[in-house]
Amino acid sequence: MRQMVTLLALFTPLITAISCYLIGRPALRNWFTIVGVIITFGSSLTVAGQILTGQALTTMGGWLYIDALSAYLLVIIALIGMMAALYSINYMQHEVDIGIIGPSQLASYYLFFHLFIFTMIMTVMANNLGLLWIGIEATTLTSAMLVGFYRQKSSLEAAWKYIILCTVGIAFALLGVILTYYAAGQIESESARTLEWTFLLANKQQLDPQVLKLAFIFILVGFGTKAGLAPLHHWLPDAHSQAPSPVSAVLSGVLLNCALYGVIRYHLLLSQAIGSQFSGNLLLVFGLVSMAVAVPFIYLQYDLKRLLAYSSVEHMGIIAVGIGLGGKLGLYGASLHFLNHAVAKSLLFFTAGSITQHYGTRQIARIRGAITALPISGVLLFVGSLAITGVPPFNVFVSEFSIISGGFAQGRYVASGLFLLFISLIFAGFMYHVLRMVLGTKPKNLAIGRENWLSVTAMGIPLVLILVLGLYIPSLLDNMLSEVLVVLRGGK
Amino acid sequence: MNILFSLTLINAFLLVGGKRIDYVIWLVALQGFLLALISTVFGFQTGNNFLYAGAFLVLVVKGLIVPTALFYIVRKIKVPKEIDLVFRPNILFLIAAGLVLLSYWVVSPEILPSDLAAKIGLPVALSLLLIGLLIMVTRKLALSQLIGLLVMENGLYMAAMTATHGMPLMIELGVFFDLLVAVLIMGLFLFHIDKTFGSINTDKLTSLKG
Repeated sequence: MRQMVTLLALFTPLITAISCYLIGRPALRNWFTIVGVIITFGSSLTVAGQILTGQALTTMGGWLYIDALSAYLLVIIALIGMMAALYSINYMQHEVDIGIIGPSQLASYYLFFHLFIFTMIMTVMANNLGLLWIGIEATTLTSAMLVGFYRQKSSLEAAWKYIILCTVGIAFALLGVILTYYAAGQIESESARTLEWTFLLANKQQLDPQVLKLAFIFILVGFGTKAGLAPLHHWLPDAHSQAPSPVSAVLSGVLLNCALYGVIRYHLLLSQAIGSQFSGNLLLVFGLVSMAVAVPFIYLQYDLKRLLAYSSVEHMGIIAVGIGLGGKLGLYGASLHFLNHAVAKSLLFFTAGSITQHYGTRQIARIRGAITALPISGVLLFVGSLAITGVPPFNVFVSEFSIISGGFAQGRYVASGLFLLFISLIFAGFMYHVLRMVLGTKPKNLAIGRENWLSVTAMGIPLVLILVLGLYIPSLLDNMLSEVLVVLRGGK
Repeated sequence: MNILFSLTLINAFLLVGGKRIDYVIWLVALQGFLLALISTVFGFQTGNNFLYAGAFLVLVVKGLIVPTALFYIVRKIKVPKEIDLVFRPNILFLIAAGLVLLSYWVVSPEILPSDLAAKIGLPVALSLLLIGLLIMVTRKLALSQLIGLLVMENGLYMAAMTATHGMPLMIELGVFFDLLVAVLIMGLFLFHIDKTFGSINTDKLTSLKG
């Protein structure tokens, strides 16, 4: 039963992808998309519920392994995937209506969209380090097709940079995997089994610390490139700004999480084998550098979607800092931040998508008076920006506050002080741009637009979440997080 | 064995300075063949049957399919015969030699596996990885970046082979599948880039900034 639900969560996106490609009628294809993402989300929730009450699950001959951490990320992927799919239907139809893409291209959009979700789910479910690598490389390939979807000069450039930089980065991660395999091969004769988390964790004492450290550096560089950690983030703003907006939401909200998940798993292995000092400090430094790098680019930004992209660099940095600091508060904040950032950022990309479509430009300077031109999106852009910059009473504040208190509690004043400085600077920069876009007078010849109900639904889900999670953590999520914390602190 | 490793390095050097694109692709194919040969010899020496399967995969994918695909791309988009290198070949050879020395220096004897093949093989593998990177950054055609990537992948395969007697077969299959799809997708993008920009020169891919 548990295996069935797990396989359902994994393979529904794959089946949906293929059927969406084969179905010719747009209306039917949309229904398949909606049903597919809802089944995926439902089964992901079920998997998470089962992990909460029972043990971690190993299935498919040891290839898949789901503990609380993977289940938690699985739910986030399914949730953001569902919202983005709902939002896509109207958004992509609009692109067809104004002639940016042909109607026949929609089929391949949904094909790659669902394949993209499938590869991400495979990544977080992978037990085998090799399979994890294959999964992450596959996310690059499927999403590159979406980044370059418009086939314009700028999107082709973004897609080419994305695929080249991430593939080079991930080549280094493969070297890390090979080194781990070598280290594990000293314990038991080499077989696929020795690359499994469960095997590595069980034999952590016998792994060569020197080799592990070297492997972690390669993994951090490789998957860190994919997670957008500075200074390896150069592909990220291009890809996020050139992809269709629903895809940007998925890229930013969950793809980055998936890549960071790979680093974190490895960090867990190292923490248990040789202590968290080495990998934790590296994560802390990379995290702070990412936050620092985002500051000037947010201040001088001219493009709405690039603004949001640099904010993603910042938030991946925040999660890395939380994990790097460790301790109960740091880890709790970092885990909660996975969800909080994904939800708030997808809301922002949805509103940005509607606004850029309505205004016909992504230039911040040419977007004025969004609150009158597109009332719902305008208000939500403002609310989302307050949330993402960590203003109470919204959700991001809670997780950021938890990380900072963890830092101060550990007496790491420099790191916590810098953290505080960067988020305040980013708040000011972000608000400067957003206030001018939301308020101000709208261009005279621009009609007042109305959002479609599906898009509003897609924006409503994250809105409710950022409001609710800012005020209190529902008991179900709280149980989930405490289980995640058990995994992150090396239990089970 | 030693001869094969040396040949691979010489091949990589020729790749770095290679000017004509079809010559470069022939060298890539040759590198695939050399890798398959090394894998076979290595399998014979260690008695590990998986290495034969690996050799077969390398031969088919890296020696045949990928070069054929590259030739197809070159013919379809009429790539100019001369590749414009950023530096003169002499300087590139010098840098490549530096990278090889660096690789031998980095792979310190302490963390090395005890057997001999790894001692010789790992530095060569790392050299290939770095030389692949060098090829990517010193050429102007987008196609050459793909070629650099292939050289890097070859380095990784060699690292896996010499340090650990090859990755598990299932993983190896997955990696090869990803590689094939990557070449396919990059080829597709090359077509589109050529159509939209009028060439595949990376000088034109610099509009996104900030």
